[in-house]
Amino acid sequence: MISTQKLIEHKFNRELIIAVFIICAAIINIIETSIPKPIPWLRFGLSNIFILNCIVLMGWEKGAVVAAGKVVVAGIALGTLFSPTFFMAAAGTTLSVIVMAGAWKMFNRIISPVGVSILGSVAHNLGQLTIILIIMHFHKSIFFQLPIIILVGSVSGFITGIISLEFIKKWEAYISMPPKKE
Amino acid sequence: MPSSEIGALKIKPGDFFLLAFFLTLSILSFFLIYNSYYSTPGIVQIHHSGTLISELPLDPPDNYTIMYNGAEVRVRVSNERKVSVIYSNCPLKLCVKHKEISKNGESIVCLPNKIIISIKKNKNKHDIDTKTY
Repeated sequence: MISTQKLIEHKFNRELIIAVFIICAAIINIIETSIPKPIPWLRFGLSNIFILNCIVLMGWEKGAVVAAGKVVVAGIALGTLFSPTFFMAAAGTTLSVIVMAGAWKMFNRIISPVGVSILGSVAHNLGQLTIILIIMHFHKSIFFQLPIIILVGSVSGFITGIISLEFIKKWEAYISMPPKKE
Repeated sequence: MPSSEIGALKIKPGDFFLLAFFLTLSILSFFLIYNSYYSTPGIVQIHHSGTLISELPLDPPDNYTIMYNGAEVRVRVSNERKVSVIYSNCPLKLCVKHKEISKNGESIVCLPNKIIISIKKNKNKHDIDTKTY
């Protein structure tokens, strides 16, 4: 059996796919941030779908590229580049990519992309919390957000993971189709 | 990547285990953190007809006598961080019969002396007014 990674590199231009993924993730991130919400930080993290797809389909290096591109593009578009919000997003995304790549590499026999997405979502929130802790000089009251953050992270990670899993299945079905003969 | 062969992807039991693990973790940490928050003993505040006249710490067990405008109330802070009134110069001594208070928000009222003894959260430890993101 041929691995998906080889198929995808065989069939598509790799740089093109990464560029499309970056733009999709950034656009979803911008739309999600702009929707009015009761709590400003409450988001599904749907842009994680593209990072997770990249990690699963093409390896963690491309996933890291997509994540970095998403953070920078969304930061420029939202006007939060090099503000505390940007560093929160950057720290969360970095930690999330590291955790997701490690989890997918080590435990892909036990967990599917859904579990990887849960881990990544919780890691993203914990990374953001770390930055808030540093900004607030390790103030005790920041820890009161910890239960809410883990709860929201695991639930939204589960939902995002299910969408991501369907996405990956579609990709694999598409890739495994025989090429059209002309 | 090592695996991810075509058609091998579906939800596995490990995913539900992870979800359940994190949900349990959040509920557990909720109870741990919020219990410690509400059980962190604050400070004993004594008001006379609306104005704060003194604040007592809960930490070293001690007896305090409050004399203010003819009111004389003796307050005892016990070893278990509980507060009670042991003497008052009012006629009915309802505040002396009141049970001990130990939690944030509880209070003992002595109506003839216009004195309210209450436990409040220690405001010095939570001094953030607003947050912006």
